[in-house]
Amino acid sequence: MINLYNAIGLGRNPFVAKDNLTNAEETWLDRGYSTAPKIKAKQLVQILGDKGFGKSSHLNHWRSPTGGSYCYYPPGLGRWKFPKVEPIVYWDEADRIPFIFLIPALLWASLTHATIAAGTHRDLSFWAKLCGLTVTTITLPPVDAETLQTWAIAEINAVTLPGQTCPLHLSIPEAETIIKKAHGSWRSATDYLHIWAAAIAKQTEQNNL
Amino acid sequence: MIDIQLDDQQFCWGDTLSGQFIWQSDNPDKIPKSADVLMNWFTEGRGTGDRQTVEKQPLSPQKLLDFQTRPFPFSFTIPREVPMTYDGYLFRLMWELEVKIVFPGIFRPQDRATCVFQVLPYLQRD
Repeated sequence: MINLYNAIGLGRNPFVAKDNLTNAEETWLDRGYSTAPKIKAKQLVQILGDKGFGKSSHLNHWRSPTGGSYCYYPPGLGRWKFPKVEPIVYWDEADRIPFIFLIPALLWASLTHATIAAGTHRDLSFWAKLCGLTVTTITLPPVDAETLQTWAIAEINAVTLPGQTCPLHLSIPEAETIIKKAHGSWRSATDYLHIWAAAIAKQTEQNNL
Repeated sequence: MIDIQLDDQQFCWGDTLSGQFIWQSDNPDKIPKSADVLMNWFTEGRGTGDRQTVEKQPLSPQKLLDFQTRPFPFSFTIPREVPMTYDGYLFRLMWELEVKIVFPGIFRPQDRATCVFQVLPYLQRD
């Protein structure tokens, strides 16, 4: 079979990284923080969470209706750049912003009544409040089994071929096993889901031969 | 609308990939600006995707217009030492034949169709 996922009624693996695909549609799962921050509100909205918990996903989701620049801070020399400050701006990995840039940027945001939405591993509230910004902190929890199951169902439905039934079904015990292996990280859990779906597709294709 | 038909779906290095496509324009006033047939491979899965055009054959827009609704043949040779089709647990590498027709305009509207095929290390031929 040219496309082994056709064997289980799918056009592709449901858990492909979205940046691999052209015209990828995001399946957004509301975890209670879907509403974008208000623009020009003299505030810092910071999302705290471990690696892979969904910080960047939330920033991208909020940015979709609001616009505003997205500033990613990589490790190393690439982080030595002054953060953009706009009516609303998105800083990803904001804890990597060098201190000599962070404070002037927060001050400028306060003076211009900007909104900063930041994904960070470290709490920036002390410095933001010192610079005159209101702070809202969102702490993303690790993914739970029910949430992972709901999201997996939506992703599977999105790539099921018309008129076909897909045998893929993630049970709660399977979801719990994946979450345990992934240490609560969405990103790692999605890697394991990709492996899970690929294994079932391969086995089904073998059984059909 | 573009409909692609390949003469086969599985090939080895050095094999000839041949087939034809039929293009039916949804607007007879739309004259193509450029057209190509491309042989690509791409990766899909977890991690950053990769995509490469191995060979591209430009088509004359006038010839394409003359062939409209009639089969337009094409032929490629699968080069040696290109990656094989691979279906893994974390990613897969796939091959496709792409027909792309670009029309004039600021946003470069286009008609595009793809057809997947496999490049394998060996084939059991009858």
